[in-house]
Amino acid sequence: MRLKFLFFPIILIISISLFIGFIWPEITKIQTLEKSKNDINANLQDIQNKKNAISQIKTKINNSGDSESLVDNYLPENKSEEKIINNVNFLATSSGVSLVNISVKDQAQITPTNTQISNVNVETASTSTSTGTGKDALLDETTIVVNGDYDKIKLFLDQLEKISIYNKIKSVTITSQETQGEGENKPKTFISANIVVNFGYVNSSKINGVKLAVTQPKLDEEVIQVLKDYVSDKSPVFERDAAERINPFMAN
Amino acid sequence: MTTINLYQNNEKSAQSASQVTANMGFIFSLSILIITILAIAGLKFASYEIDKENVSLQADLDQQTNSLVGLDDLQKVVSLENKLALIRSNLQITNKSVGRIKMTDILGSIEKDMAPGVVLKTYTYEGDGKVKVNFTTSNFSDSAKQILNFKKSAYFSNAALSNISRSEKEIESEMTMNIKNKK
Repeated sequence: MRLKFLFFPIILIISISLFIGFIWPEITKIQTLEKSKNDINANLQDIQNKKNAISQIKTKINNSGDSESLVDNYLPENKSEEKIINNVNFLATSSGVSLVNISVKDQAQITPTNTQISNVNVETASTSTSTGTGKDALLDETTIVVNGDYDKIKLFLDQLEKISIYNKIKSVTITSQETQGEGENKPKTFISANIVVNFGYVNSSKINGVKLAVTQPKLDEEVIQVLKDYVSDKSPVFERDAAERINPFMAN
Repeated sequence: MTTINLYQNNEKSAQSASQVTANMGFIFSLSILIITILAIAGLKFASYEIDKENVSLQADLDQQTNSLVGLDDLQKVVSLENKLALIRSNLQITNKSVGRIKMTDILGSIEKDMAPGVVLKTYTYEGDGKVKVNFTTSNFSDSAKQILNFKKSAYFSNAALSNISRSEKEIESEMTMNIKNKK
């Protein structure tokens, strides 16, 4: 009888010990595992959403016709000095100004722009602020010197801003100069413009999709439309032109 | 005369009640022990199952993650979005129009502010909306008019005279100013 009465406190002590020693740690472990499971599920859902968003944006890009090539041509992924020189020369000719000089400096000498990316649809998860999201445009500083009439220089400037290459006019200096002349050769006034333009491009690098937060499957169509309307369609046909030469040190 | 032994009956009843209580206590204690052991077993099983499920989910997540790294479509989309954002920022696109300063607009504004008899010699746009002009006049009155024109201009602000000097032929003035509507 006494043993039976003693049994209850003994069992109680054993039960409490078991609870402290086994049940509570197990409950804690299950809670941790559940949390981990929820995190994994959330990540899986996020990846699925990203894939859906990417797929939808890709469909939109494909449906938007030449938008992708328009943007790629406007802001290429490689330096294209040849395109800059060719386009500027074409613009000078079509505007009626005389292209005196053009020089292109390497982008390494230029501080990259503080261009801030307002990624509407895609932004890096690590930096939700507007600074440093994505990549800045790298710039080639080009100095262009043209001579001509004032209205033609204005036309050239207008066309230069609308050139089909990402650009930012850094400075413009227009000066009027007089030529020396005597007798019948009266002194003439001519206008010279020195324009410093930054032409841009972006380097491509492999993107880790996990670090990206793709939010809405929406393409910034406003920019594409504005670009289509803004960029001048005046651009020369520019293709590789090479022929075998017997002596490359001699002119044709 | 009959004698009833009430005392003996009470002792038996008390003993019986005590035994029942002890039995119930024993069963109760045993139940607690069984429940505790069952709970341990149940929790261990649940923990094992969740752990197994997590391993499976983690493997799935790793696979999905790897499929997202270096994805060509993603590469294209991100690249295009990045470019569009850069273009938007550079052209300052708002309400479907380009908002950045047009060089021809600045020249147009100077044209509107020019007084008669004043000749522009040098115009310099220095970036960030800063403009420097050198102009010549034949007399100080025209110079003063032109300085006032720029100071009262609807297109420029902070117009200030940097230098004015008279040479043999003309009076040359230099002014700096900011474009008003610069964002």
